[in-house]
Amino acid sequence: MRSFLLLTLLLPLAAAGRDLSFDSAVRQVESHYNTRRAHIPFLGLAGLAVGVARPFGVKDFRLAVFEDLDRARDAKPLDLRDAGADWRPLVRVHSRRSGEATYIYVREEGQWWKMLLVTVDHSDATVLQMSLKPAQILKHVENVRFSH
Amino acid sequence: MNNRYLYLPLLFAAGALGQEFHQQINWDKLAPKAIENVEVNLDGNLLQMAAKFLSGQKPDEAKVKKLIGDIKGIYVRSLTFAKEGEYSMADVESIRSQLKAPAWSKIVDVRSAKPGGDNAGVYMKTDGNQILGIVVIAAEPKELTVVNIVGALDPENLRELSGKFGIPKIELEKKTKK
Repeated sequence: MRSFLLLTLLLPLAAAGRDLSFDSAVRQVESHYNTRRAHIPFLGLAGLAVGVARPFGVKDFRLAVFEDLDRARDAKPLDLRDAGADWRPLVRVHSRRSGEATYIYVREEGQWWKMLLVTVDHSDATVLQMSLKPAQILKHVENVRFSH
Repeated sequence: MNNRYLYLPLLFAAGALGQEFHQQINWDKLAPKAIENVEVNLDGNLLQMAAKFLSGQKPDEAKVKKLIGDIKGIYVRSLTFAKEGEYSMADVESIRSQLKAPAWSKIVDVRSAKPGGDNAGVYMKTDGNQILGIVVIAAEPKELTVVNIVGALDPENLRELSGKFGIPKIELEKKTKK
């Protein structure tokens, strides 16, 4: 009976396990910029559509938007490795001049890799997690250009 | 003292020797001074996994597949400073000094005689006839860029990599003619 109870408790956790990394990243952004994620209507529906149509080779995605960031806390660039979710930094661009920042992290998950894209623009931030094939990820990086 | 503790420093030293060049640079002193900080880390696992899924038939994918074929990593770090003099030639020299013979050979070295002039160097790591890695150091008055490409490189591909994967276009030929 005890093992049945344990299983009942653990199964939902296992099902949600693939999203723990995203939630961890969201918490990291919330804590770094002293903000809360904004509600986006119909986001679940968009997620379903992406799951079916797979635009640009994206299998699934999760999105969080943040407003009214406390940029005074931004002296140190955001580091999602602090979230302890096995994200490896692929691209990190942090500009104190323009106040913009872009962070791309990846995590290996078999043939489909997870890419976490964090963009910060003055007072707003976006966290986007997508499942992509590694070749697609490389295409994102192939076009990385320096702003100057 | 247990003998195994005597081996620890040796093991750490061996570990340090096994590190790739970009891992040996300590950016902690310079990075906080920069107003723009760019870091690209393409490790071998991503490159090789990506290469597997790229088509050898489609021209654009075949080109990238050929480019990254034997590359084990591309690491770029570029710092931009608000004004000149925020980093010194001693900082650059401390990076250059780690690229020593016999493992590394300097293939291009441009050092401006003018104060605040551009400096650039290309260093190659070889084993016999095989190239094992390339390091490019570009030191402009307000910008310092270090590119480390790890792996068996086809020299023909080097030019192709310029401007891709976060590697800035560095016009060395033009500068050497000056």
